[in-house]
Amino acid sequence: MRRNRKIKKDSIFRTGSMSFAGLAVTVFVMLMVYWTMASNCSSISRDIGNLEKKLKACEDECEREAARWSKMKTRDQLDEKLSRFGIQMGYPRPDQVVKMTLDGIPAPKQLSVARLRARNQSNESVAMLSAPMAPKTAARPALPSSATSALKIRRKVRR
Amino acid sequence: MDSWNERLRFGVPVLVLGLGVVRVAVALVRLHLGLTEKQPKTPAYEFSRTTLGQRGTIYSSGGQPYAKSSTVWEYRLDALRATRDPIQDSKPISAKQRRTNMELVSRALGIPLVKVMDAYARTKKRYQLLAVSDSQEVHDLIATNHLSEIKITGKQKRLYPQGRQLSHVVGFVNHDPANTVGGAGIEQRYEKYLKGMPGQIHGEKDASGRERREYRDVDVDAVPGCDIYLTIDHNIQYEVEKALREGLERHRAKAVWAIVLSVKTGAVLAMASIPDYEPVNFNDVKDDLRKNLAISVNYEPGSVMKVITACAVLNEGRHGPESRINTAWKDPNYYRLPTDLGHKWEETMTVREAVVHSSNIVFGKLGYDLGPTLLASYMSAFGLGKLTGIELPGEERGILPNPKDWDQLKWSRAPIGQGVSVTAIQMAAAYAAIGNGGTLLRPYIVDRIVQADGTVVFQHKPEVVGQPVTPSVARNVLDMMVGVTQKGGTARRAAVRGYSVAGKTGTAQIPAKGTYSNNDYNASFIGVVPASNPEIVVLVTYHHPFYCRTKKTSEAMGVPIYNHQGGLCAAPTFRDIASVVLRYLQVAPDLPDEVPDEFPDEDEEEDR
Repeated sequence: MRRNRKIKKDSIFRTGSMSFAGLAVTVFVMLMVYWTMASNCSSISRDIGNLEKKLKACEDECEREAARWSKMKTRDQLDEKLSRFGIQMGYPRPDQVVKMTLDGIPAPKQLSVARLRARNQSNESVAMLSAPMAPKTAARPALPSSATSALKIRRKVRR
Repeated sequence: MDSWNERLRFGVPVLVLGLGVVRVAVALVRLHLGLTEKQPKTPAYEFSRTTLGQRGTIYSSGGQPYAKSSTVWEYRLDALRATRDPIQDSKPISAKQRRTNMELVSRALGIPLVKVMDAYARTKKRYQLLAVSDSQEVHDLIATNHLSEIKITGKQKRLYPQGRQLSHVVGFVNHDPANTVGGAGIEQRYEKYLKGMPGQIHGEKDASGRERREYRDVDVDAVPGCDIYLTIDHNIQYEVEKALREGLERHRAKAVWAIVLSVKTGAVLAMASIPDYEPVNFNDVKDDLRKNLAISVNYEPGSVMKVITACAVLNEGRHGPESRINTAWKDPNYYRLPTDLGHKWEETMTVREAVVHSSNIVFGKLGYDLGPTLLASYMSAFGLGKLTGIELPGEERGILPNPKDWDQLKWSRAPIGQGVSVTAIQMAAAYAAIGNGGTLLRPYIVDRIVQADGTVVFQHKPEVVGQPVTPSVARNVLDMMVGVTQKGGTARRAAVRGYSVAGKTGTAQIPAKGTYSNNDYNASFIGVVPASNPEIVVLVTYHHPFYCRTKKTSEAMGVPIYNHQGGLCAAPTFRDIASVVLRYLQVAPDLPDEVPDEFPDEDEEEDR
C-alpha cells in the first residue's frame, strides 16, 4: 500500500508555513517597534529643542535681570534714593561723640564739655551714659573699683 | 506534472517573499546592532551654526559688575511688509489697522508716534532699526500682537551698569555683536580671557527650515568667558570721582586725576580720571577723552619729587633730617639755583624744614651735591622712567633722561621735579614705598580671574620690585612729611581729622614753546595716611587749574586765591577723599579727634 505522502506534504507545508508566519510576525513586530521608536525619537528631539530654547531664554532673562539689578544698585541710584527719603547719613558732630575707655568708662570731663557745646550750639540733648543729671547736693553714683583706680591713675598723670 | 506546477506557482512567490522578508530582517538586525553606515546628508538641508560664548564680566573687588554682557532685542521695521495683512499675506492692510499698529509700536518701544509714522512711510527701506531693549514686557507686547512687520532679533550687548564710573579702567568694546573685541582698558588687555570660546552646531533642517534635532551630529557647547575681579572698591571709586568732579568745577581745571593705592599690597583701590565718558558711547567722544590720565600722561611732577631727593640724601648718609643747609640763593658753589619765589628764610634751614616749606634752594643744593648719576639711580630705583607693569594698556614710562645728558641746570632742577617726567601711578607707587618701609611694590589692578565654573585661573599676589631705601630712612622721610600738613607747612588743607598725614604738595609749571608757562600748572598733592602706620596713598593732580594770584580775580571767578597751587587746589581734594576712605576702611585714628587748625586767610603768602 502506498504511503499517504499527502499528509507528509501537508505536514511539511504546515511546518513551513508556521515558520514563515513566525518570521513574518517577528519582522512585523520589529518594524512596528522601530517605527514607534523612531517616532519617539522625533518627538523627543523636538522636546529637546524646545527645552533648549526655553533654557536659553531663562538664562538670558536671568542675565538681563542681573544687569537691571546692577543698574539699580549703583551708588548714584542709592544716593538719590537716600536723599529723596531724607535718610542719608553723615558723620556725628563733635558733641555727639563720646569717647570711652576699654573698661566702659567715659573719658574724663567729656560729658560736661559735650553738654556745654550742646547747650551753646543746639537744642538737641547729648547722649547720656548715666541717669539724667542729679541735683548738686546728691552724691554721685559710685564707680566700680577698677574704674576708680583707673581714674585715679589718670588724674595723677595729668597733675 | 500538476503537482510540480502547483509547487512552482506556490513556491516561487513564497520564495521571493521569503527572501524579501529575510532581507528586511537582516537590515533590521544590522540597524539594531549599529552596523549600518551613516547615510550621507542631503546638502540642501544641512546647516552649520557657530554659537558665541558669553563674554565674561568685569567686577569690582566687592562683586559689583562694571561690564556685563546681556541679551537684548533689536526691533526692526520692515515697512514694505507693513502694508500687507499678516494673516492673508496678499491682502493689503487697512489704514485703521496700520494706525493701530503704529500706536502700539510707539507705546511699546517709547518712540514718538511721529517718528514711527515716518519709519512706516519709508517702504523702500527694509529692516529699519527702531529700538534696542532688554525689557521682557516690551518683547511680549510686540510678540503677542503678531506684528509681522516688526522683526525681533536677540543679540548680545555689552552693558556698563555703573555708567561712566571707572570708564578709563574698564574700557569699551566695539559694536559688532558677532565679533566683539575690546578696544581699551581691561576689555582690551584681557580680551583672550573675556571672550570665551565659540561652540559649533552641525545638523539638518526639514523643508520648513526647522532643525531636525535628532540629526544633529556636532554639538559643541560654547564656553563662556572668564570673569575678572578688580582690586577697585566701587564705593571708594565713587567717592573719589565725586570729589574730583566737584574739584574740577570748583578749581576750573581742564582735567584731574587721582589714585588710591594700598601701601601694604600695592592694590589700586581707586583710579579716576576726569573728564570721562560713557563706554557705551565711546564713538561719540574724542580720543583724548578716552585716555586714562592716571597712567598715560607724562608730566613734570614739581615739588613732589623733593621727597625722592630727600630719600636719596638720607639714604646716602649725606645729611640727616636736622642737618642745616645754607639758604642763600646766590651761592658760587652752585650753578643758577632755583628761587623760592621771594621767601625770606633764615640763614640756614634743616632738611626737615626744607620739606615742610618746600624750599627749592635747599633741594637744588642737595640734589646738586648728590650729582646726576646718584640722583637718577634713586629715581630709577623708585620706579621712575620705567613701566610699573600695571595691567592696563597705554601706560607711559615717563621720561628720565640719561644722567650723562644732564646739563648743569638740570643738576639743580631735577631734584625739584623739573626736567623729568613721571606718571601718576609711578609717583603713587614711589610714595607707597616710602610708607611701606622703603619696599617698592608693583601696583596692580586685577585681583583674580575666574572661569565660569568657579575655577580661579589667576590670583594676584603682591610683588616686591625693590628696596630703594632702608626702613629707617623711609621712616625719617615720612616723619618729615608730616610737617607739611601741620602749621607752617604747605598743605594744611590736607590735614584729616583724627589722622596724621604725611604728604607733599607740588606745583609744576607746564612746559610750553621751549620754556615754562607762567600761567599753566599741574597742581598735585600726594599723601600717605595714617603716617604712624600707613595704609593708603592718595594722589591728586589737577591739570591747568585756573591761575589766580589776586583777590580781585579770586572774587570775580569764584576760585580760591592761589588756586593753581597744590596746597590750595589738590590738598583739599585729598582731604575730602582720605577722610571718607579711611573711615570706610575702618582704619583706626592715630590722633586725638580734634578739628585741625583753622585755615589761614586767603591772602596769606602763597604756598609751593
